[in-house]
Amino acid sequence: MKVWSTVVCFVILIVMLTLISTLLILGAADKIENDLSGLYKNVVKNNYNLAKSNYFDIVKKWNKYKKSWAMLIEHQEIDKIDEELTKIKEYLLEQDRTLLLSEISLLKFYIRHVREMILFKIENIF
Amino acid sequence: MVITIFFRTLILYVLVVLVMRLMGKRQMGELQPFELVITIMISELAAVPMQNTGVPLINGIIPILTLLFLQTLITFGSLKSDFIKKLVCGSPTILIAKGRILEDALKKTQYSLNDLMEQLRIKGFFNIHDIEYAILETDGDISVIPKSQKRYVTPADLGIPTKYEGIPISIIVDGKIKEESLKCANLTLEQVLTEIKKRGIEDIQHVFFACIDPEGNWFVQKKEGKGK
Repeated sequence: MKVWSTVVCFVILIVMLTLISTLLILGAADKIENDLSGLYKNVVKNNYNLAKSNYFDIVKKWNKYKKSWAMLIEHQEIDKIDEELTKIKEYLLEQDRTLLLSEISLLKFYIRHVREMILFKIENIF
Repeated sequence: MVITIFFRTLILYVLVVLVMRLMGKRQMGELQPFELVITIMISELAAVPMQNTGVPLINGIIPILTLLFLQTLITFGSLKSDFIKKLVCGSPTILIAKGRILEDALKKTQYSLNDLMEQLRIKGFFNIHDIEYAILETDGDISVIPKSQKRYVTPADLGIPTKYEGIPISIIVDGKIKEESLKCANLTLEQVLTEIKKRGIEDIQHVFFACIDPEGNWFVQKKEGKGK
């Protein structure tokens, strides 16, 4: 009886942690990716004022999510995202369109990569 | 950074100690192969997030808890099913039967004759003639059954009647009375006080150690520099 209750408790713990971590990462990643798409579009249109406002929204959201992400993913991934955001800020101020677009795409890739890593997939197991 | 590592170490140490305790006493004694694997893995898993602050603590905690879960499950399975026990622990192998060394068993277990002789010497048997059976247990230890003429003599062999021997019960340890032991020995606090006063000690706090054996003999030692 004791063993079965331990098994059930452990399975519940794993399922709960999986759900919480997946929802945390996926929810945040979707929001940041959407905002990055908006930022990308505004840069394409040369609308830098709107792009700046997009950027500050992303930073605000990222700083909120970062703390929970740090408990779930390797800190190296978080550092990469921080690095990209710093680069984007500088290119926005300089209004360097080409570099800005490439850095936004790279940041999108990093966010997507984190999302892919958290999912329960065959390639993540092996 | 330093304080982070300090706290991570603290958390993981407490977790590993807790896990080892939950795994039971066997984990600290002779290990079965699967237990040895789990113990090695746990120590490795705890070490990585301890020193690398870039790795989330959960990356160490979840695998450790998973191993505890697996060990609990395997141990339970071994208790309930002989098949599972045989599968994960193997089965004992007889290396010497009726005084004869079994060559096939030595080959099968990859146990050399020198290893066998060494283990027998460690067990206190220097002459192969003295041994009836030697069994290689699943935890790698060897059990030896000597020939009846070569085993140690017992009171039963000599026909000597013996009295019941229990174990002494610790009543006071480092100035603190153990309530459970009092119940176990059917003693009252007054009886204990009487006993220590007989030995010139006024207060329980002045007693370093006191125990009583099944025959009712007391051993009392007072703390250094306390009482008279």
